[in-house]
Amino acid sequence: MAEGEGDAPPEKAVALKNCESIFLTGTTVKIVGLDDMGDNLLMKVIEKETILKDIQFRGAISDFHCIKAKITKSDYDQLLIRYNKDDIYGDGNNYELCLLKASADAWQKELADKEAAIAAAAATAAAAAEAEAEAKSTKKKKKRKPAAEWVSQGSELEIEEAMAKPTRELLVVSIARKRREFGASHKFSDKDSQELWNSSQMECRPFKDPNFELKRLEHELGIQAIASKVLVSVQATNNMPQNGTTQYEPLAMSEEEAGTHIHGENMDGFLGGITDRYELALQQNEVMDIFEDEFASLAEEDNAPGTKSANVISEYQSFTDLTYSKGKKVSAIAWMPKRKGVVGVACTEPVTFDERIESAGRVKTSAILIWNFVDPIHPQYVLEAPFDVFAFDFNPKKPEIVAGGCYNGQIILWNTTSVQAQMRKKEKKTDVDETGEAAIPVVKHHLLSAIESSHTLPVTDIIWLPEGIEVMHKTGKVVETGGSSCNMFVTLAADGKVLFWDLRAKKDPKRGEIIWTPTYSVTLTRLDIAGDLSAVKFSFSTISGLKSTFFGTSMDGEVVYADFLRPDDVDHPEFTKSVSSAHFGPVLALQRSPFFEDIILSIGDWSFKIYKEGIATPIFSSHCSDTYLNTGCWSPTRPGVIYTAKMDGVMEVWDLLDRSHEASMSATVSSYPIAALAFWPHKQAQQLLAVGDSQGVLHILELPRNLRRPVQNEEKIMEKFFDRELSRVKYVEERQKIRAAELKEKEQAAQAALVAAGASGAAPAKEDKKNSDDKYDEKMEQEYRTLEREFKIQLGLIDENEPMS
Amino acid sequence: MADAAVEETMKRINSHKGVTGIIIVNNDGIPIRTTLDSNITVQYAALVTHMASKARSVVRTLDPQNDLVFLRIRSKKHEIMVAPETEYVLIVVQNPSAT
Repeated sequence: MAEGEGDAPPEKAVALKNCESIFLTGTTVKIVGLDDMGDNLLMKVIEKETILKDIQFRGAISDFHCIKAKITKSDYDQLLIRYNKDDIYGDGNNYELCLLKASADAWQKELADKEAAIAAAAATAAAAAEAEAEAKSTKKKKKRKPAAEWVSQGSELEIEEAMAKPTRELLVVSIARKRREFGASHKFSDKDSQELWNSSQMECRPFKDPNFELKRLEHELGIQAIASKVLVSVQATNNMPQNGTTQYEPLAMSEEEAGTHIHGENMDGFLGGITDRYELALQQNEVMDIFEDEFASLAEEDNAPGTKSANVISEYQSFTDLTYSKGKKVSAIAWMPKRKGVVGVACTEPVTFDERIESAGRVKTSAILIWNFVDPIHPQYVLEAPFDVFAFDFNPKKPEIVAGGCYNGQIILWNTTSVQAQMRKKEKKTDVDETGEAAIPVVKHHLLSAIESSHTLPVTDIIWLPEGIEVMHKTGKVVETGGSSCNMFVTLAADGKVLFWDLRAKKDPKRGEIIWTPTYSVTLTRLDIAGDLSAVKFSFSTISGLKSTFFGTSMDGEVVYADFLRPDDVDHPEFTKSVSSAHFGPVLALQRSPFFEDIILSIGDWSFKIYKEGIATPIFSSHCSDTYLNTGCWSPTRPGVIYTAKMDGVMEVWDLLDRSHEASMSATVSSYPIAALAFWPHKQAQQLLAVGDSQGVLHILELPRNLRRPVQNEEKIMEKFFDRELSRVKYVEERQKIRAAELKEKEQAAQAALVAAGASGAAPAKEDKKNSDDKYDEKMEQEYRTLEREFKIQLGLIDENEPMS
Repeated sequence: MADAAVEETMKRINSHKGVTGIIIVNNDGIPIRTTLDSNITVQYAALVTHMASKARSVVRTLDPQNDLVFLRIRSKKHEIMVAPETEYVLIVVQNPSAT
């Protein structure tokens, strides 16, 4: 194998004989023309003459000067100079000059050899490399395929096509022009391009070159990218829920074990140690409840000094209208449910029966005014009726329906939906006050009941049945229809009839108009006394459903307890169950307590009485006042407060917790008798009481806080109060019985004694008694006589010796 | 006899006003002696012993030298008093506002 390039390590060679090593500077090199010598040109021939000239020219500074003699002595002219790059002689000289031809030849030969060697080395190297590669390939396949002949596969055709070959010979064109034509003077002028194009001067006309007629084609291409969908299915194991149950028992200790524990000494020590702690804790708890909330159980102070203002009933507003209510008596007041500040007032003529008869023939209208707090001067609207309305009320569910009872016993119905809509529109439309009297809308009645089937005397009270409850036609059974509208109401008049009316009166197909008749009617009698109950007010129990028992009052001062359910078997059933004469005059108000369902307040003549359902005697009767009481009611928020209104326009507040022998507070509302009272049913921070007097003025009073807020446990206290009163009543009854029994006994005893002594005995016994009485009298008489005589003697009026008379 | 002492103590505690029941429980929470009926007893025993041990661990964690002496749980209706010791626990239920 070859040994590579064969870079022999630079050894310190010895110059051949007649070869001189010299150092040539750069200038010398240039002058002599050796500057193209280098790595690629190691040897160069140089004329001896050139060197000698240089020596001659430059003298001693020439580099060749030192070997001048040898150069002149050299036998050939073409001196060979060799570049000594590696400083092989080690003397710092970079050139070598050969002075003898033989040496020059030797050098040349040396160089040629070197080159050959290099070439050979290269060749061998190449061969070696090839051999190596071959050796590698021979590892894979043992046999080396001989190089195949090149078979044309058609690739040279492609190459031929791609090659650019001249298709023809190169043309040689020779153009000649006479010399004198060069450099002639010229004249340029402008010409319009248009002309140019069209003129015959232009040889080249514009033409359509098909090569340039490339049409740009628009290629419509749409690309839609969608996610690749892959359908994968997975099977999940179905974990069925399974019911699992665990049954466990608490660890218990057997009896013996428990016994051992108890009787063990540890137990003793244990209990002895902790008992003290327990004692302490238990006693602490007994002494005082430390977790009690004192503030919650703090009683309300109502007599704090300086808070007088909280105790006064103040007038909030008052309403009166000149046209409609002036001089008229307010007969009934009703607040409109669901609306704040709307109250209706029925105004009736304060005339006596005779006067009414006189004016009976004339056509008159009466009005119910609907006031809104917003406008105290003009009523919002007016419900007109052909007769005086003494009782009316709004439908609790649909306040647009108003039902009322008239003087002649007819029932009248108004529907105010249109007016209300009008009101709302007006409110929305303008804020500007219209000048002059805005016309107050008047609503005419919608329906009047049939005269034959209505009451015969003025209707005095009207109550709507609670929602969803109705009374059946013939039997009077209470039916809960479950609806949410109030369709029925009940009216009461002085003729003793209780009539149940239904709103949904049907049109009589015959006459084409609506004849409104009551669904059910009940007549109340006075039980023991013949005649109908001239009823004034009634009160139903409406808290849970509707009980068929109710209370009624009469003009004669009776409070009756009746049942309107008609029993099936009796023909003319007695609806009145019990009668109790409560008052001396007409009982003008009757109300159940809003807190206790069986406690009823009745107001008449000069006092009010509280009854408990089932007991005929009142459990509490108030002190008589100096004027008649016209009306009254319970306080809706305080169980123990009653409001009564008197004939002199004073309203009294009776606080039964405070004192029950007289009124706790009184407020002068007006100077005319108060005719009607009604509380605003809305429970809110402000409690308003509407009071109507007999001059047609409606006063709205605001009640102070102490009358609004119940005292702590007030209900319980009142309950106890009533219970006490009840037990008192019962006790009195008992005692009466006992006393009656005693009296009877005494009489019997007397009789017996009489009988026992016999007829004779009876007389002397009597005489004896008489005698004894007489005797006693005489005795006393005698004593008196003697005394008188002595006295007279003392005075000297009678002489001692005069006999006694 | 130790028995008598036990009885006497229980009677004394019972005689306080408002005491509803007494339960003596061992430190596993198994009732030994009780004046209430068994269902309630078992519940009280289990729940209250847990509570007491938790309370004790609170006290001891805050200060290892300390130990729980008495635990009173006041609820709206009554008060539960627990005195845990090493071996037994006594639970007393009292209604403090019983008038």
